[in-house]
Amino acid sequence: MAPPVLVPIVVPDLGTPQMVLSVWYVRPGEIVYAGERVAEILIPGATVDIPAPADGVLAQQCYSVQQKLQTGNILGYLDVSSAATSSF
Amino acid sequence: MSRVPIVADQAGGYDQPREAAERVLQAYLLGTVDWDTLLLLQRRLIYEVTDTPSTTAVILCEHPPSLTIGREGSREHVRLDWAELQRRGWPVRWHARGGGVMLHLPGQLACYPLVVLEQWGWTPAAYVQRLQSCLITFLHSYGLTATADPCRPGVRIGQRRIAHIGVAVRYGVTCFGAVLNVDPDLRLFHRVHCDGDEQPMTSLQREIGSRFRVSGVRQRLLELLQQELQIERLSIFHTPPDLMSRVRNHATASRSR
Repeated sequence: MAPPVLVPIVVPDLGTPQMVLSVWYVRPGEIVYAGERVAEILIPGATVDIPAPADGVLAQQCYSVQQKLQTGNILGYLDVSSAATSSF
Repeated sequence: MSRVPIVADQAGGYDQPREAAERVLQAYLLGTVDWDTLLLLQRRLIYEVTDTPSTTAVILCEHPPSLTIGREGSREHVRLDWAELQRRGWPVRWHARGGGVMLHLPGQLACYPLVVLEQWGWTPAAYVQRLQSCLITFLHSYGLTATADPCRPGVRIGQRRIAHIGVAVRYGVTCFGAVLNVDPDLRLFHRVHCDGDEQPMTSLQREIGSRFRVSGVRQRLLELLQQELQIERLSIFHTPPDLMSRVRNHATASRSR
């Protein structure tokens, strides 16, 4: 079986250090398409949807809801290998 | 439902040719809009502003009496039990936006810009600050000294909040936004701690002592927003777009196959 090809989902610069993970919209093992929202981050006064960087399967969630975040943190990984995406 | 464009650009007049990429601010000056309609309208406008990069939109409206709770809010901030809420006919809705609890009443101006942040190079936090400063400038224009709330996004006059901010960024486009108290019944804020603040909110009417109508002040806020976005051309609509037209067209096309 081909090894997984992991693409990180990175916390973008939202203009504030006060960031909290508020929602995971996707569970590990679920398929996502590029641009589809996978998570939501809460900053003071706003929620920001985080899009999937590629088509793939969510392989890992690295943070839990309510955990504090910093720009550049890796929220999770998508498996974009052909084995993962063959079921699309 | 038809859309009625009323005002065109301020720069050149109606007959001058315009460059294809000239930016346009589509302003929807609506009356009372219920939440289901607002969510549909926002969804449609998100598609429009992402499809047409030169277009930015803003919805200015009121809402029927209701409570909304954002991600920073809690049911504990609503000091009314379910029976009381039912008796008053105030539905409670949880929205995936920033900010906390907000009590919506007649006499408030809701301002929901749909801005593609990437086009302006703004971060979500910078956008929240700009929206806040736009409201502060608006209140200054009425001679009021307003300040940004240091504890939670929103605007204060003295000890009381006058405007609430709760934004969502979806597909890189802002939605929801700000709610400003023009002349709502302020007694009702004693039992709802908007954005977690135990002090009841204030209003333009309470601070100035004159009667104001939402329709009378929204034009000034729109002008300030237009300045903030540096968009010269403005199109004003007094009815929402036909929200179901695309769905109907699709259904017709499916049946005809």
